[in-house]
Amino acid sequence: MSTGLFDGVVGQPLAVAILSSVLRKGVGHAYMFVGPRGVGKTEAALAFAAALLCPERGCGCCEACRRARAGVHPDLVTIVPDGNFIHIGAIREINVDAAKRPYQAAVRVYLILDADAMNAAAANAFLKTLEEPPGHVRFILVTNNPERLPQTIVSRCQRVPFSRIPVESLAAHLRDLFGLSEDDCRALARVSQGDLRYAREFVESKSMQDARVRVLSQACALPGADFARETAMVDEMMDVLEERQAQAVAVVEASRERELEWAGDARTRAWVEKTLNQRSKREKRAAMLAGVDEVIRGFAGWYRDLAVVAAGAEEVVHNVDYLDDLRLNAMPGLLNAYLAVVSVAERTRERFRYNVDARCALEDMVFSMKEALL
Amino acid sequence: MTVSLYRKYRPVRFEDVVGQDHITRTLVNAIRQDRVSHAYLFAGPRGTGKTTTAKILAMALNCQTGEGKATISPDGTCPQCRAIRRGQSLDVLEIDAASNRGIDDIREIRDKVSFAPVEGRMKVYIVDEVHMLTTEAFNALLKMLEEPPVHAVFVLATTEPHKVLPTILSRCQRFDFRRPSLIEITRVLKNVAAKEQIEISEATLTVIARAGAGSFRDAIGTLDQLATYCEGMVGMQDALAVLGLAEQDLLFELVDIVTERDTRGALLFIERLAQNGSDLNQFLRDLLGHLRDLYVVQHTEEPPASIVTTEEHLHGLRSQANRTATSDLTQFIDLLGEVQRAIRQGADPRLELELALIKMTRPALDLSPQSLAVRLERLEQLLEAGSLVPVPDDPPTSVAAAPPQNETAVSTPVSPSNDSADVDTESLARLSLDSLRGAWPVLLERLRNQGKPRLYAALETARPESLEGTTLVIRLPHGSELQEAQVQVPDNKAALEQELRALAGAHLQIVTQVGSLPEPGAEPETLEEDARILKTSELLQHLQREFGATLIEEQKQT
Repeated sequence: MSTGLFDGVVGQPLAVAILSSVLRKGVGHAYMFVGPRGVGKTEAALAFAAALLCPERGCGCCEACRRARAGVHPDLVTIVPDGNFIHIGAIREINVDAAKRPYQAAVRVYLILDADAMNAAAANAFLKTLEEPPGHVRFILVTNNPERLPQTIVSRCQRVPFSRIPVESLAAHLRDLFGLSEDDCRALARVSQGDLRYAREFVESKSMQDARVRVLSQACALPGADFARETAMVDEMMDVLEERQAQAVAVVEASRERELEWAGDARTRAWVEKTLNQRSKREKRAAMLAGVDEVIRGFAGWYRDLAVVAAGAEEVVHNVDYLDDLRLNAMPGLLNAYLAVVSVAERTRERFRYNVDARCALEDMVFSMKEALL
Repeated sequence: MTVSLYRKYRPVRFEDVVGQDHITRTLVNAIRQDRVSHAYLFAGPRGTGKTTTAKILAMALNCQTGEGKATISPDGTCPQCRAIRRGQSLDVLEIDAASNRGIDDIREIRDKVSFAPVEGRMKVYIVDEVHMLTTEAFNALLKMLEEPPVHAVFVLATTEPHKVLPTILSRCQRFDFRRPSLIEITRVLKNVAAKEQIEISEATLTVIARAGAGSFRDAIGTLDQLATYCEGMVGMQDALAVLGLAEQDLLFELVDIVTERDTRGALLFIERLAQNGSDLNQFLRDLLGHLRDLYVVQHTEEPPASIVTTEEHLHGLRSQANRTATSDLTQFIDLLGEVQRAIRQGADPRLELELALIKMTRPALDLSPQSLAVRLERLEQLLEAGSLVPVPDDPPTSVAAAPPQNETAVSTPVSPSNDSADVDTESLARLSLDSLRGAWPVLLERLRNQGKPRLYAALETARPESLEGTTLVIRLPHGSELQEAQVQVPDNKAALEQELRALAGAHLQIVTQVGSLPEPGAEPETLEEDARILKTSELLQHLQREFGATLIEEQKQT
């Protein structure tokens, strides 16, 4: 095994040590990669899959390795949620498919991303196969919320723990990656709270940086805002969400003509149209959720920071670049109110897991937060 | 591939099944007396031996050593037994009811069940995860389950017997598998470790067994993983790291921090954990376990078997239990339980944990009945100890200097109130004029909601001007003498002071000023001063500075 296999995985010494020793000593049949989002679980899973599929056990440079890491190896089956869930149909397909021999490699690897999206039926249908699959089958389950999976699933897998990347290693990585200044790297590492994917996207996307500034200034202005300003805030949030949605739809629409070009007869056309419409709807919702997540993350983060400053623990502030504003605004007497505001944010996040109307939910969030502050 | 240890060491004889004597004995006796029932339901938590026992029963019924009869000790080596263990027997069918859950799947069984066994003596249907069958499928099973052909035995296995229809339950002999004890799991682990030549200490085995939470499969799986990770020599540190378990010292430390009401310390503690890459989810579980242990130790003379520990750990538990109030413990457990629920709903573990710790260290913040009970208990203790003197919320420190005399344009100085001695210097030190200004709107809203609309109206145009020591100067705009009088009404002033105290945590004396008396160091560019007309160039400067405007083109006015 080459040592460079897990180079792309930053700040996860334990996970890398476990995986390396597994590759040296012998591989079990089911692994679960557990840890917060954006810390490199999927990258590690693809690298691990490459090691399993490669004839040299992960040389990192052969055809099999390259294909596996790109996720296109014929013996690597990747399962992702369809919409919000992984349905029983997808699992039944695995159950049947697992009996087949591998095409090229010695094993067949099933990579299940967001495994906690399995609904109850799917998870139960998976149990027997997951416990005693045919000898040539390996499962890799990836999840950031194992609590949502039935214990019967968790108990059948070997756990590979991932954690938030410590500030030091993340800052060093960002410095190598983007060549930013030492201070910027440390600040970004703190702001992203050890989430490498967020940090990367943040550096590359101007709109994300703007969004953060906007959300934080809204959060900061909330205590002094009157009703009109509060409504204006929600309007502003909705504008951003709609813009994001429009962008996401535009991407799908851009591919519509190209896809339809290949569709011959009317029936195929209808089918392509239908899948495109479904995709567009899905992307639209995903864009909305991502935007909402930014808003909630911003508000919750701001008031959490106010709370820790008010409690006298400035060292643990996440939005370090706003430390001066935080100091200005933090009132020890409002500590209780800050906690209440964060709870409102979390409650709103929970609501968005169901089909709520975005405007209503955001309005309710802003008004409830204001009320909590009084 | 290396076969997982939990599959390799699946028991193959009744005697090998650990911790389920009540079941194996019944089954063995039934076989001896030739009274094997035609339908069994095996219920129990994950990893306790349901499927394993079902397979052993199938072997017992079909093994060749029985010579045409069921045997209580299948040899596990005859062709029949081997086929069953590999899942290749034609007569023993293991059915995954979770993925074949429809009525058609059951109909298929019904159509085939009447055929005589091919190789063995009996046909055994092991229907695993039976709780996932649809209602129709359950009903289709009913007739067959009640009166199957003489050569058929059904074994239904499930982790959730409450989801099985009562009509099914009444047709089966039900066996409830119980959670094995820590000692039983440790014994099994020791056995496996010896056979696999894994070097591991008894204490580490106990930790693994505990983490297995009553499941043989979890425990053996962990041992398997550790053996791979450590290459044969498993140390305690490795086990804690791989399991993500918190070290006991950390748990003791945090509970001490929290009972000392050290908010800052608690927040820094979490920061340290996060920077070490600890799994906060797991830490939360461990913390809850620790609090539970403390609670139990507090209320029992002899620790129960569920706390299997070293003498040293027990000693630590005892002493911490002695210095922690029971009401504190229950409140912590409540708050952390709420955190666990929130995390399951997808909340951020770190954030939730931090909020809970703030609440735990500041019981005064929490107005729930539990928290009030905690505070009441403290009061009672103080009363009993006879040490109850009026103390403010925060530890008081006397103010060193008398309030400084403010000589500049003070229209109405305020007489110092009686309780000015208990000003909290700590919060005063943190307090700045800017932060007061930031919180001003909130303060006003609060006053309005308290039925002080006039005071609200009077203060609407005012703003905090300066803060010196404990004196807060509030500036009202030019010509607001009427509003100032409103503020000076004793009732109103008391309300304002009280609100300020609640917000800032410090007692402040209020001084009002009217108009734009220039003070040394006062900002000259406060726009509200007068209706000053700005020159165009000044306006442009302001726009550029305040809003970052850029000058595009200068238009000449004609």
